[in-house]
Amino acid sequence: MIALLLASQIGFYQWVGVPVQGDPADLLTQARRRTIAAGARLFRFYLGPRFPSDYRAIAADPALDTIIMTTYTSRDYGAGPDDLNLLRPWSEAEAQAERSQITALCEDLYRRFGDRPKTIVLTNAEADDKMKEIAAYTGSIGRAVENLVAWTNTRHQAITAARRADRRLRILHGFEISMVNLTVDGRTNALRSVVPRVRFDLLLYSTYESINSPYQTQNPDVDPAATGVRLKRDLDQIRAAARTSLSDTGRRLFAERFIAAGELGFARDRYEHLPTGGVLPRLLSALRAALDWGCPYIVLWQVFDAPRAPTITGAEQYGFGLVDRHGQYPRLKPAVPGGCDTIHSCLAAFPALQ
Amino acid sequence: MRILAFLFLALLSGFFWFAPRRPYTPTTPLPPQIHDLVYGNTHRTHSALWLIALGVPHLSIADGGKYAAVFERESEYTYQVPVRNPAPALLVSRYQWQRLPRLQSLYDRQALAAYVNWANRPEEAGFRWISRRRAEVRADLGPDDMILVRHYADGWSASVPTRQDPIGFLLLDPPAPGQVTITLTAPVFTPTPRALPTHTVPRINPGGVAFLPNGIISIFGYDLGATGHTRVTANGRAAEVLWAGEYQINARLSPGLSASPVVQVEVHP
Repeated sequence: MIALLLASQIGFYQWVGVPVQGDPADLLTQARRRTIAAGARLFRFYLGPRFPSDYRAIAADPALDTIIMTTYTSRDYGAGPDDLNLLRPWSEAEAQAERSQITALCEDLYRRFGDRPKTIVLTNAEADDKMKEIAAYTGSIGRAVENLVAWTNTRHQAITAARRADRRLRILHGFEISMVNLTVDGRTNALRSVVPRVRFDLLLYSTYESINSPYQTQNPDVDPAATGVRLKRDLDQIRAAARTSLSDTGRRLFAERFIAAGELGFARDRYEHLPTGGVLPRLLSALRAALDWGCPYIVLWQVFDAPRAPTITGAEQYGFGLVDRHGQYPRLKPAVPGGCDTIHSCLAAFPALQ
Repeated sequence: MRILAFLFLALLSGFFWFAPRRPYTPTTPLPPQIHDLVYGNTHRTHSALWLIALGVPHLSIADGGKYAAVFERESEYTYQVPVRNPAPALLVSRYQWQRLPRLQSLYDRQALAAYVNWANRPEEAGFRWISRRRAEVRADLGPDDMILVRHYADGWSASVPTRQDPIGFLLLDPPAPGQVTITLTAPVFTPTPRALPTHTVPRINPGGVAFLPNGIISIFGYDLGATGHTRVTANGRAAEVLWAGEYQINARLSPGLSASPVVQVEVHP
C-alpha cells in the first residue's frame, strides 16, 4: 500500500488495456479496484464517446478522493457521437457543444457528489499530440494552435462558470502538455504557443520526454539517476513559461507547484534488460523528483498493460502495467540488491526509500 | 547470384509464394496475395501494416508465433490489430492524400506505412445499406475531409465525385464541406476479394490467362534486388523492370514475347 501521506498524491491512469482474464468486471472497474488496492486514492481515465466509462461509479467510490477525467465532448458527424473534431476550423457549433456538455457534466457532478470532499480535474490529453495530429491532417500548424487555444479557453470558461464555491466537491480545469524541449514543427509546441494564450487551474505534464530517454539522444540506456534530474529541469522550465497562465483558483490552491506529473511509466520490454538498470530505478528516480519538486498529483502509466498487438514498426513499447493480464504484479529487477521487485511493493515501501 | 523463378498460371490462385500456403477461402475479405502474406510465417511488420490498411481489427490463426496473441484457446490464437476504427467509412485528410506515395509492391513498407498513417483514423462517417446494391453515406465534413469507403473502387458509382486510394479503396470527394448524404451504387458483381490495383500487382485470374506481350507481371521471392540493378528476362527476352524490391519485382513483358500460359523468368539481381 502506498503510504497514507502520499495516497492522495500518487495514482494510476487507465486508458486502453487488457484486464485480468476471468474477472467479469469491466476494464475501468478492475483498474479502479487495483488502484485502490495499491493504496492510491487518485485515478485517471478517459471520459468521452470513444470508450465506455461509468464516470459516476468512479466518482462515487469513497476510496478515491482525486479523480482526473480526460474529458472529450462529443458531436455527431454522421455516425453517432464522436470526440469533438479539432481537425476543423473552430466554429460556434463546436463552442456551443463544448460549453453545454461541460456545463452539464459539472452540474451532474455537483448534484450527485457536491457534498463530498473530492477533487475532480477535467482535462484534455496531451495538447502537443493533438496539435501534431491537426498539423499533419491539414498541413496547418496555425490551425493547430488556434484550435487548441479556442477549445481550451471555451472549456475553462465553462468550468469556471459552473463552479460552485458552496459545495465541498472541487472541480478544476486541467490543461495537459507533453513537449518541453521538443516541438511539433521545429519551433512550435503547446507550451510556447498555446499556454501563453489560455487559462487553467492546473497544468498537467505528460512526462515521457523528460523521463523515458534524453530527448537529445533518444538513447534510453543511461544512468537511471539522471531520470529525476531531467524531470526537475523540465518542470522548472514549464513553470517559468506557464506561470502567468495560471488562474486565480489555481494560484490559490497550488501557488508555485501547479504542475501535475503525468504518465510516469517505463515499458518492461524496453527498459528491464538495459545494462544501466531496469524499470524500477528509473521509476523511483522520477517519483522522488516529482515529489521533491512539489507536484500536487503524480499519475503512473498505467494499471494494466496495453494490448500487445502487431505493430507497424516493431518498436511499440509493451509492458507499462502495474498488473499483468493474469492479475500478477510483474517481477522486476530491484533498484538495489534485495530491494522491492514490483511496482506495487516499491510504492508500498516508497517513503522509506527516500 | 542468379535466381530462377518459374511462374505457372496454374498456381496463380494466390501467386507464387514460398511461405506455407493455405487454401484460399472466398469468404475472407483479404485479397489472396495479402491473405498469403498475413497467414504466412514471415513479414510480420508488412502483414500488420496490411491488416491495418484493410481495416481488419482481429485475426484468428491456428498457429502462434508470428504476432503476439491477446487471446489463446485450444491452439487458436486471436490477435488484435491496432486499427483505430474498423468502420466501413471514415473521414480522411485530403491534404495527406495528395501527398501519398504510390504503392509499388506488397512489401513497399514506406508507402504502406504512409498509407496506414493516412487511413488509420478514428473519425467515422455513417454508412448503411439501403438495398442490396445501394448504400448511403452520411457525414458532416470539414474543409480538409474526404470519405474513405473500405470497398474496392472498381465498378462503384456515387452521387459525388469519386477517387481511388493507393490500395484501390473508394474515396468520396464532395465539392464542399458541411452535411452530406451520398448515395452509392455497388457493381453488379463484385469479385470478393479482388486483386490490388494493376499498377501494384497483376489482377488475379484463377481461370488462367496467358502471359501477353507488354503484360505486367509481379515476381515474388527473396533477395530479388533493387530498381536500377535488376534485370529480368522472360523466355529469354528482356522485360522492363518497373520496380524491384527485396521480395517483389514488377516488370513489363517484352512486346516481342509470344503469348503463352507458362514463361520461364530469370532474375538477375
